[in-house]
Amino acid sequence: MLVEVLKIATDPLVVALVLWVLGNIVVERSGVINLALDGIITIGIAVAFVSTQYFGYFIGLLITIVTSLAFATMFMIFINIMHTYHVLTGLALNILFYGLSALIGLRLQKSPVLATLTLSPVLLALVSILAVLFTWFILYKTSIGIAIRACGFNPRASEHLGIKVWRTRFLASTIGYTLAGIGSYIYATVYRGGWVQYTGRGYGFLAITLAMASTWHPLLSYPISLVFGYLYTSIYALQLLHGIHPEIVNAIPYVASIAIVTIVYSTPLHKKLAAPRALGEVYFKEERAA
Amino acid sequence: MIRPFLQVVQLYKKFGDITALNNVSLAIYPGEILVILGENGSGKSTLAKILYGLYFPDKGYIKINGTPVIFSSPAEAKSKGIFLVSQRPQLIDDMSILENIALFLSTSPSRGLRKKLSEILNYLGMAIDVDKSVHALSYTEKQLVDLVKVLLAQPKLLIVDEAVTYLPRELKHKFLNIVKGFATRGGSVMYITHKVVEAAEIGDRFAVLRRGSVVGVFEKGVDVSTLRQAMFGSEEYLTAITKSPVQRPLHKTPALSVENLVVFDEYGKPAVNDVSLSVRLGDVVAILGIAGNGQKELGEAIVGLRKVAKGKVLLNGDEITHMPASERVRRGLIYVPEDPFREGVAIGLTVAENMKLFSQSRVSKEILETAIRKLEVSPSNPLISVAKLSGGNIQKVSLSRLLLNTPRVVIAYSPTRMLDEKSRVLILRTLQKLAESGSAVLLLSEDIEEAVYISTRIGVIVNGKIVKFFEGPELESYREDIEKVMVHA
Ligand SMILES: Nc1ncnc2c1ncn2[C@@H]1O[C@H](COP(=O)(O)OP(=O)(O)OP(=O)(O)O)[C@@H](O)[C@H]1O
Ligand SMILES: [Mg+2]
Repeated sequence: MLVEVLKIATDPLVVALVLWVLGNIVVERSGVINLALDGIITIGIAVAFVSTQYFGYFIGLLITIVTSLAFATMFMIFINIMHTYHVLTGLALNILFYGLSALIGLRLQKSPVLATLTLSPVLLALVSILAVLFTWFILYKTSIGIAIRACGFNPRASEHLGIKVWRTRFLASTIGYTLAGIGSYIYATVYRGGWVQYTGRGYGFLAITLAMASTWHPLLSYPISLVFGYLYTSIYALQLLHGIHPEIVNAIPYVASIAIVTIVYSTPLHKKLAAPRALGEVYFKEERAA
Repeated sequence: MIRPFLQVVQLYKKFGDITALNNVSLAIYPGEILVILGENGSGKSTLAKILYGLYFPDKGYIKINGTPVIFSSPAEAKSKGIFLVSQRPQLIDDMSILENIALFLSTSPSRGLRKKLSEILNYLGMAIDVDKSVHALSYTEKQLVDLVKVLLAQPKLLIVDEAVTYLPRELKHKFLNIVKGFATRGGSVMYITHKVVEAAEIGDRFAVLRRGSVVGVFEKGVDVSTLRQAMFGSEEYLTAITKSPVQRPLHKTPALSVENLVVFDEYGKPAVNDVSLSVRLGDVVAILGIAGNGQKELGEAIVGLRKVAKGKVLLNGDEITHMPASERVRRGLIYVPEDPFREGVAIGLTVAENMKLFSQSRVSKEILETAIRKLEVSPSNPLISVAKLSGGNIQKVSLSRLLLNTPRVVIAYSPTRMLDEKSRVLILRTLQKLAESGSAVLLLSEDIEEAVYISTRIGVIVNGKIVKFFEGPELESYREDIEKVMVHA
């Protein structure tokens, strides 16, 4: 059992997933439905792959983070400055981002493979655990984090309390997409070591679902990500050993997150695990809202 | 001549075709309490919100210490020392009291802050756990937290928009003393209230707004009737309410009775603890208590919005303890909830739509217009979204449910909160009339004044228990006793 857990916790795919989930938690805690995540992850992976081929591992990491932040900022401009609907904006941008990722990967790659970066398993596990603690600390123990969560609960009251809502959301997206960018980088260079069109597509939605299943709480998100990481990495083993269809395994996170959310919200647990109530609310300043 | 701390110069603010502020110029000096008076919808909150950076004026500007400033957000107003405590508590419900305060002060919820906060709450005599989540607080308690947060900051101009008005008396005195002390040390205060008498006592200067214009500025010592004249054009409304002699109720059997009721709060503690009471047709019974003593839970349990743990509720002799709220409404139970914004109206809908919801049937245009006219909802356009109305006018829309139905039993929680004096009298009179024409009225209140005005019986609730009933034709004379029981039971 312990060996299994260690194997999962040090699996680079799981580490990437943990970072994506955490990134999503920070962004959605600020009240923005983060559907553009999937597209930005897909681009991040393509960029990590290509830039590492050109500039090496370290510069590749920086470029991946910066690109993720740039596209996230674009998403945030639509939502916070142009006040567009979160879901529609996210979905529309995803399509654009998928296309862009293909363009970047296909046009700029030197070869379809990349020597994987070997990191010690301990280091990998440490990265994800530190990221979990960091996210938790930021969100629950600092004034920035309280402001981020406040915007997710009630942007209007936050404004009254003297918080600049859009600035806080930009900040949240900067923190969140830095984590997500690192996740994409680990996926591309440590886990995958290669790229074909649309590599990584779908993980964003998985991360969004897992964030919801952990009621947007960073500490809870870790075990939950590990469990689903286990299911994901053992799809083939499960199929071979028990004849479970991969489609069923694939559906589990979605079904489970619905189950968890149902359980949390129909019991007193929801008082402890308050979700960002204003998630997806298009927020105007008071005088324009009325 | 000392220089004003803040000046507003020829401020205009329009919302669509409603003029909220019309050429308003005012100055606030260091060390003074400037009281802003005006009827519901006269522009007081709009002025406050402009000063706090929530709204942007269409024309005109603000000067601080002689220098023009532009605020595009409350964060900027705060950085200049301007702090607003809003008419409606603006807190994050899902967070704890401590976190809310930390948020406002832009710090982390550290041990030091926890200590400071507990100290000030102790000083105010409030035993609230600072880790309690705000959503579990009553409206008045929220208002208190909203006020406490500015006391921990260092304001230069403190704007209080009715937030002190409805606090329990003792607490209110403490706050007013703090506010006065703050002014004596050179701070400026802009104090908005509907209680004219009280305002006259604490104000140094008085500005009266009417339909968005300043119609008068008065110095300390001005008499109350001059202020009322300026606010409403007359003070005849004061005589509209007469303490009606207690009529013997028409019926012996109670229309509403509650037997040994136990109701739990959000934390599983008994909020209502073994309460029994009955209201006959023709009666106005008040349950009076300081906020947070169980009135709210009692009301919600009677109308079916909260689960009853033990005991019974009877309507016209039929048990309704576990009946759905909709069925109770159908049987003639009407509830005026505590928080008009959240519970009293559907805020995004229009006035007309809300009224249709209240009456649960087709409402003719005449009925709508009559209700709007009687309550003097302003602006009087029924097709306007309720979100665009002033605080008092939103309360009026919530109260229109009393006029659109012929209720058997009315349960009203602080129905006159946020109303100007004139509307307040009107609503009290309406409740009185409902009782006279054969309804039963249960008034849940924190305000001893309104309770002694119209009730035939007053029960005082403390910690979820009704500790004493007062009865008789001259409830007025028990005032001090009632007050003592409320505070020191
Ligand atoms: N956001 C808004 N959109 C549209 N109209 C508004 C808005 N805010 C205020 N108004 C209108 O401006 C006028 C002044 O409102 P304001 O809230 O300043 O009144 P007030 O003096 O505070 O009244 P009250 O005593 O009821 O609180 C009202 O007619 C109101 O309907
Ligand atoms: Mg107001």
